Amino acid sequence: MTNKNKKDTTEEVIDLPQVEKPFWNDEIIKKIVVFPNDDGGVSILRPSPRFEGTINELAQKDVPTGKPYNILDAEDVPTDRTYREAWTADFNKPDGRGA
Amino acid sequence: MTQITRYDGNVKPFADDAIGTERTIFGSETQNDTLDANINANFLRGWGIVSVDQLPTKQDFNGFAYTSTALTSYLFQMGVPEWNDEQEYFTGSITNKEGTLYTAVQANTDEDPATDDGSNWLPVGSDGFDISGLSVAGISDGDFLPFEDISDANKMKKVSWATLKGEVTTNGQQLCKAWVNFNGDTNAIRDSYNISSITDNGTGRYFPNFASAMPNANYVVNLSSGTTQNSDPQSALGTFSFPYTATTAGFQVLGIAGTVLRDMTTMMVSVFGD
Repeated sequence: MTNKNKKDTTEEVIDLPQVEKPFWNDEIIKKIVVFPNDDGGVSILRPSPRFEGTINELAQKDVPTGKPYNILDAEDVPTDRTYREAWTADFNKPDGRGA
Repeated sequence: MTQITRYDGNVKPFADDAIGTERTIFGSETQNDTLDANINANFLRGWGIVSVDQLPTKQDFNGFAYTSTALTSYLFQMGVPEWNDEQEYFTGSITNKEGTLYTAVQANTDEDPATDDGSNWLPVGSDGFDISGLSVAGISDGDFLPFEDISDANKMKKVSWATLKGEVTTNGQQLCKAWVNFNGDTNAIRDSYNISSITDNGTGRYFPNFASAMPNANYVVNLSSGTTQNSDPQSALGTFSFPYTATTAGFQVLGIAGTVLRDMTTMMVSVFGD
């Protein structure tokens, strides 16, 4: 088959689409979610700054179903993790439960 | 000749609104609206059907004009005439077969373009490109181009630039579905993709939660980790904590010098799967 429509040999330059800057949530990372785990301790859920939702929506999604959770400021989490397994929290008045 | 402005309406044949037998088939006394009935032997002979000193009838004039202009109306309706097995075609003729336009590459009659092997008909626009001519200007990503090696030579195939350039194409299996870089000491996420959060279940035990769940749990997780403290191990062994699910990839980190769970300042995870 011949190339009847060949007009020139200049390689076409393809314009790459503009990539939208990924979403970044500065506010959500200031919060954490605490819930009791099955080992008798507490689990701490750290949000991703890429999560497009509220901290409560995140807790509803990522906390195991039925588990009570509290939403705290991230700065309230102890920085010394030497006794991490001994951490406790009060869930008598939870902010919600995992969906 | 100046350009003719299109008639602003539905192009109908002359005497289309004729009542009863005001218009008859040319050389006949019956009325019919089909071209098959109107293009008869008399129509093809013309006014020779009228004897010398006879006058053609009004009905015949209507029939003649109706048939002639009905052909024009048909073209306005179809754009390109439908293929017919009795029609003579010549090189360059264009016909319409069930909505697909074909151009004749040689004179032919009764060669169905839909089943032709390409010796008589080719789809319009398909005879000018060679797939090896990747430098041809005007080809855009997603254009329909013919291939010589496809099973049905009359068909064209939509191709991508990746195919044209011989690149490895991606179907999603090769793409990373989720990744995260976080601090195992503070559990703060430095950056991520498709990870909504990290659940810290204790020293050295982390559960990344997918923002959008994986379609199944048959995915692959790659782990790496390290610490900035020179006196400590520079890397750690990541192992899975079963069960891991479509929504959560659980794993734990063991110090490389032993089996003691420990936190690492840099945790990196990538996930591949369906």
